[in-house]
Amino acid sequence: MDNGAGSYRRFLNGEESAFDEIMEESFRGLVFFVDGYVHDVHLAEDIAIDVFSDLIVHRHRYNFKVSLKTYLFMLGRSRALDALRHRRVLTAVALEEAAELPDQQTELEEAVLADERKRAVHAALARLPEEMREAVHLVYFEDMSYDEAARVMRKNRKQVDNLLYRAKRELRIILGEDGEQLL
Amino acid sequence: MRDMETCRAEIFRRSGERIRRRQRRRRTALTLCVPLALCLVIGLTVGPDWVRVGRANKGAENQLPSSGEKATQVTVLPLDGGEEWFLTKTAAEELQAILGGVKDRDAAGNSKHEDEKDKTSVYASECEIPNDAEFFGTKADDQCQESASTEPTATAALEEPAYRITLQRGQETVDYVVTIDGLVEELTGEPIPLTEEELAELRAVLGID
Repeated sequence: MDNGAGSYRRFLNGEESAFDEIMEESFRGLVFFVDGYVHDVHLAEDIAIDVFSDLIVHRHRYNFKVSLKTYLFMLGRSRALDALRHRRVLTAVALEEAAELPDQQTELEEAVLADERKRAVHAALARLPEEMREAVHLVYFEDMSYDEAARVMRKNRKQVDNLLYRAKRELRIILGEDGEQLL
Repeated sequence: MRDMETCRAEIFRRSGERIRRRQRRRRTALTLCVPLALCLVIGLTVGPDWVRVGRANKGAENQLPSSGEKATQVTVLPLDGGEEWFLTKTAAEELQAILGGVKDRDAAGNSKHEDEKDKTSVYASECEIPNDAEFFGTKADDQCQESASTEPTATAALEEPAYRITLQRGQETVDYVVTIDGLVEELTGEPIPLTEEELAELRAVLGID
């Protein structure tokens, strides 16, 4: 599996439908991943849209050295961090819209974390430090390799390995006996 | 949360907008940079020549009066093979004044000059037959010799070191030759009667003293 690189190549060759395949494969996951940083589904979606539009505007910026999914998540992470830096400038959603947020959050979770096991782990993840949460998310929810996760997080493989080891230990404590089975 | 189709449409809408913005920026940069670059290239290639021509013109303007009949460019050329030079505007005006003064004096004293000429002719005729009239005696001989020595001749005027002065009055060019002894109009070979003071002044103006 080339994680979207083949589809993107076809899109560059003029096959419009290939872009839908890329979106199908990565868009929701990216929104969910970015939401982990910004904790705002709308903003996360906005960032993901920007990341995908980058793929169209700067067609030859992606060099196929990493998987397309890794590239998209790298862009997403960088934009999410930018958004966090400008958080104070960004206005929050209106109050009436804010009430809808938890529902939408759940909807997004359900869309991305289809299986029950993953959802249980994700609920426990909220209690983990951010870096651990990020590593677990990329490896367990996005099915990235340690190397790909390391690229997205701008860390080396060993650091990701350590983060995952510690995250698992924490999760086992949080999830209790069930955790043994889930992890 | 927007559905996938709406998100896709939004992605393409934003992409189109960004591409258009990028093209606009590129066009703006081109419309600004191309003339700038052209100006720079032209400035670097032709500019030095313009500056050189401008300096030369400025120098010529300095040497020339602004306009009119007096617009005269004066060139001084040493006849012994030296390099020629131009007179400055002020020096050219001074030269004009000297030559103008001589002309005025000539015009005013034309009739007087005629009388003197007659007298000179009389003296000359007297000189030819010195022994004819005792009335003049040795005194007449002295006067004859005196008049012969004071009258400037073209041959004397052309003695070395000599300089050719070229006066440019519009299309007209007049050449003079100035020597230690005097000034001669080159075309006609006629000597210009200058007093010693005028000659000294003229030489000073020409810078050949």
